[in-house]
Amino acid sequence: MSKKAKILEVICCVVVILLGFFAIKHNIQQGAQEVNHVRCLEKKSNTKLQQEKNKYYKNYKKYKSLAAQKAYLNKDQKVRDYYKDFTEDQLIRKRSRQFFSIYLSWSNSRDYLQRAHKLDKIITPQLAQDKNIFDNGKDVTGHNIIKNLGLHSRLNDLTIYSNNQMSSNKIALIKVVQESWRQDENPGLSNSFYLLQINSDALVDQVIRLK
Amino acid sequence: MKNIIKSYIPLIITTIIVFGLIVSVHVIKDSNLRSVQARAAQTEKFNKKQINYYRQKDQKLSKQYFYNQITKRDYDVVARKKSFNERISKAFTITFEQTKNKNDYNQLASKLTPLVGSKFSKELKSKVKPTMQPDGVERTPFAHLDNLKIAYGHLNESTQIIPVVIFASYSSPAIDGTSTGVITKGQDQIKKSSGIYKISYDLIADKIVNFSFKEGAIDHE
Repeated sequence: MSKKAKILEVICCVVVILLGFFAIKHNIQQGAQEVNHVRCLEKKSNTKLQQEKNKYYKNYKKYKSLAAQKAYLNKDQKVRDYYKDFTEDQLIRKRSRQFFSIYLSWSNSRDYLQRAHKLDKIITPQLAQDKNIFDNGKDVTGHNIIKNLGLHSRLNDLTIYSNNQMSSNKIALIKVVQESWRQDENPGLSNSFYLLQINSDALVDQVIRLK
Repeated sequence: MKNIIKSYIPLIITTIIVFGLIVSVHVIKDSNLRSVQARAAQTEKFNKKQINYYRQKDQKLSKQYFYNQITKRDYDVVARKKSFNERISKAFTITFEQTKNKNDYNQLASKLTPLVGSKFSKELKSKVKPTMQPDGVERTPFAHLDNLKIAYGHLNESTQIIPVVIFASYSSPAIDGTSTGVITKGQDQIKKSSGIYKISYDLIADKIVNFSFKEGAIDHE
């Protein structure tokens, strides 16, 4: 084989390899695009279902609340009792949602420290000063964990269980899903139960976290 | 001819390898795409069914629908909940405060069953099985019910079943002596425990239809 032919063969090999490389690259990119497209459709479908669910539950709450209000005028004592029970439960639920939407939401240490102040209309002064509930975000060595770790948090979901009959205090046991993350990290979810005690003015009186 | 083929072997091998790689990548891409498509089709089918389900349920909703549900009940929801609170409180008090020895333990099922049913009474009974304690006496692990909270979720109007969550914390009796022979009395000798019970309570039948238990820890009290 002549030197020229050898060079030509090497060039051909390089061309084949390059063509192959581009063909594979194109194939992979096309595959990724197709998978993304399918995933987008799947996400769209899930969003549509969630919207339909939200619409249903919104209407469910709306009509149930309207029906309960109408029950207030009913002659039957047990129906009127149901209205009272329902209305008190709604108040406990409202207070619980207000509490956790602020208590578990912060994006910097300033937010973290202001939570008690933001909640002062619905919590007692004793609770606002309780350092076990509203700590300063520092560890035992005095380091600011919220600032140093860039710790963020927000409320993801909550399920409220209430009782207004056990004693003078109304209570709520709340399953909370908290979304928290460090700066430049993806959010992680954590579950916990909280016990809220609400006095007759519907002010949060006591908070106990149940892991 | 043979010589020509022989001299082009490197090119032929390179072409075969490259072609093989292209085919392999294509096959893997296709199989991955097919599995993603199959899953998406399954999700779409499920979601369509669910969307129809919620749309149909939504169309039935009205103020009158709920008003009828409230007024047609032949039982009193508030009274049932009140009575259930009392029965649960009594059952937990009997279990964690009044069951002290093997004799009490053996009578527990007969006391609890009328209050909370046989299945849930078995669950409570399992929490206080008498064992040999460090001071050499066989007795139940708990002596005090420290905290009991019962709370209700949303009543399902079509089934009339309401989810209930119970938080209970209990502690062991204080033990005066230790295995070292040193007589002490105080917090160190008290074992504390707590748990969350999730119950499905059928308001019409007035009984517990389902439950689960999760042991818990208290962060702050």
